[in-house]
Amino acid sequence: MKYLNKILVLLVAVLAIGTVSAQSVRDLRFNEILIKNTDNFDDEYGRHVPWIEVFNTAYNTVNMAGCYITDDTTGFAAGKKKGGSAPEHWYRIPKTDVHTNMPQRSYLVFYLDAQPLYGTFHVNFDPRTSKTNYIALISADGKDLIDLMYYPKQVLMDSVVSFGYEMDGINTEKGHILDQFTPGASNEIKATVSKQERLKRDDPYGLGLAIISMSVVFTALILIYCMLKLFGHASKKIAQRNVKKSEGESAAKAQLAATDGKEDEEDLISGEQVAAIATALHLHFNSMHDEESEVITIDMPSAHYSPWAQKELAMKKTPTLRRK
Amino acid sequence: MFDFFKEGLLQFFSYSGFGNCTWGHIIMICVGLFFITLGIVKEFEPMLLVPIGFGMIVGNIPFTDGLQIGVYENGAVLNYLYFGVIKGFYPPLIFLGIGAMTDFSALISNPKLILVGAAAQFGIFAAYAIALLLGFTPMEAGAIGIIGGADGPTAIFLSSKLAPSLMGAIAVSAYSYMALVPVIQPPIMRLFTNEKERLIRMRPPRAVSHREKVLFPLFCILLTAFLVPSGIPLLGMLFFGNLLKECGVTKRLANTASGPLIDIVTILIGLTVGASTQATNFLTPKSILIFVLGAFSFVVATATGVLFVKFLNLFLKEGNKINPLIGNAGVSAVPDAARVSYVEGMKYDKTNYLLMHAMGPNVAGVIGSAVAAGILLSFLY
Repeated sequence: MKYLNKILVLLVAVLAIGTVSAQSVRDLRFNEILIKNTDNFDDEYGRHVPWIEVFNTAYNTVNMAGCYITDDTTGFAAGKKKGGSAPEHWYRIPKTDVHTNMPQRSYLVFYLDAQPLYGTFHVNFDPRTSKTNYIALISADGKDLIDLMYYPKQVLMDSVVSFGYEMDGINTEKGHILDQFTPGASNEIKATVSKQERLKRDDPYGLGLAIISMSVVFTALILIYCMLKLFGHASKKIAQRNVKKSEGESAAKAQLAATDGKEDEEDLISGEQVAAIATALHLHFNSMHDEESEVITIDMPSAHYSPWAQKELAMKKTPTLRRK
Repeated sequence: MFDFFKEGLLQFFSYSGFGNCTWGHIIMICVGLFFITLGIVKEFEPMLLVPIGFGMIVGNIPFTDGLQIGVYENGAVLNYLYFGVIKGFYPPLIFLGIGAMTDFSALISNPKLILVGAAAQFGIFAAYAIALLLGFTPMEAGAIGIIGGADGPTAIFLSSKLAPSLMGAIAVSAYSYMALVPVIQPPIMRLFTNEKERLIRMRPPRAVSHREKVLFPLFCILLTAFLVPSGIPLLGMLFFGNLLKECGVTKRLANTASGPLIDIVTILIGLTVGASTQATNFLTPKSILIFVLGAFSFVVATATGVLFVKFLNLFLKEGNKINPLIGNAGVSAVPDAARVSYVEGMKYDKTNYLLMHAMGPNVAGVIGSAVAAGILLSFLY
């Protein structure tokens, strides 16, 4: 059982780590920003205000409630507060809105209008009046910088263009002025290639897929192998413990029999008897028979004789032919 | 009056099968009859080949369109039955039954055999690569490659998602090669083994406790499904069926899953897959290529299984070595591939019973092919 407990603890730990890391807000990225909004995307009040798009790069749902969006990371290293509250330009995403739950590979647009009372997706600062040229996404505890997007402020203030990354969520390269506005949608307008086409392009001979897939198959089955190994050890231990226990019991029994001066012969069953019992049970459980309400037995019936139970008496007798 | 009679007869003839018959239909009906013959006379997978063969006959009887009788015609009875194949809900039900029938004891008692089941999946990806070279799209190539998994329900499940237009050919190819396991595998097994290796005696499996058998499906579903969630329909049902069998308190459910339920679904899947091989859709150069690639993936899968056992033996002590003749069983095809190992083993040593040992990689192959299908689905779908 000790081993089984270990396996359980290990598995729970692995799953917990996997779950926590898989559903992390660290997978969120700023994807596109637009500041000069004259006739572009409007908010739920019909106003044209600056907006920024967040992309969930993960393949699972991520809830960004509690995180901060800000244009001023001053005091960031000290955590979210001085005296319990977040700095002035830190907008905390409310925890009560279900829409902050981002499905896998989805997009969410925030309005940068300094109107936090207008709703969950309206932040408390405006880049047009901001002194900085970046937007930051900070974790709920205020200690981790999840993403930071620098943008060409003057260009975005002067012309109606959006700035972002050509490939969704890939912020390792420098951002670009994008050809099209795509709030709430993929930036990959130009290179819209299907999964299949991309696979054909990147892995024309199927070698990459073969290696990855075989690795995953082996990983899955090696995990099962490890589990079975642990099972084996645990079961061996249990068996040894049981043997010791039964040896102790039989020794005690033998001692008792020796003191009584007789052997407990009734407990001993011969091999033939075991075989006969096993065969009878096998036949009973595997033979084809329906549910009988009666039992056929060679025992003497316990019920008394009753004419009602005699089938012969209930039947009309066959007439006999008499010849004169 | 005579003209009316003549016209009526001609019209009737034009509606009849004779009036619409083509060489394609005749060829496919002959293939169906061949399958039935194989099933009844040779007893090669009769549970599959007889329904598929009969389905081929039913699906290839010529008729005029619009009467709502063909498997591809909306509203037809066969079309409703075919729905389970298109939407992929027959294969998981079959996996439920397989789980309820399978005893994983051989695998639990000798866990290293599970790696053989993993190695044998290489056939799938080798066929995938060759199919790409032959001009198939990645999705089609993935669906064709899964034939190497030697698992009919998995092949149908994956092809219904990735390449529905090729599903008939893929299913027929997969089941045909599964039925021909006793013919295809032995020469490959002999080619890659020597006399000494074929005589290896394996250590008898240890007794497996009830607790281990109950925990096995629970742990396996957690491990595999977390790794490959797209395999949940197959793996989930497989391990659920096995839990029903092993837990000991759901005997009725296990009996239903492994008896009437799997029988009903096998009848429906066999008949409708057979009927889907209408000559117009089936007799194409692509189908021939699929058959060739299917055979190739089967051969590669068998060879890698055997070679992997030989590779494992390099690291195993004397007495713990594995007989490479059970390597072929890693391709799934339960229990025929294991039976082939047993029969081949008996040819060289009449007292060397490999059946129980071969069941280990055999059931590992079922898990491996379901995992491989899940991976292909997540990459290609």
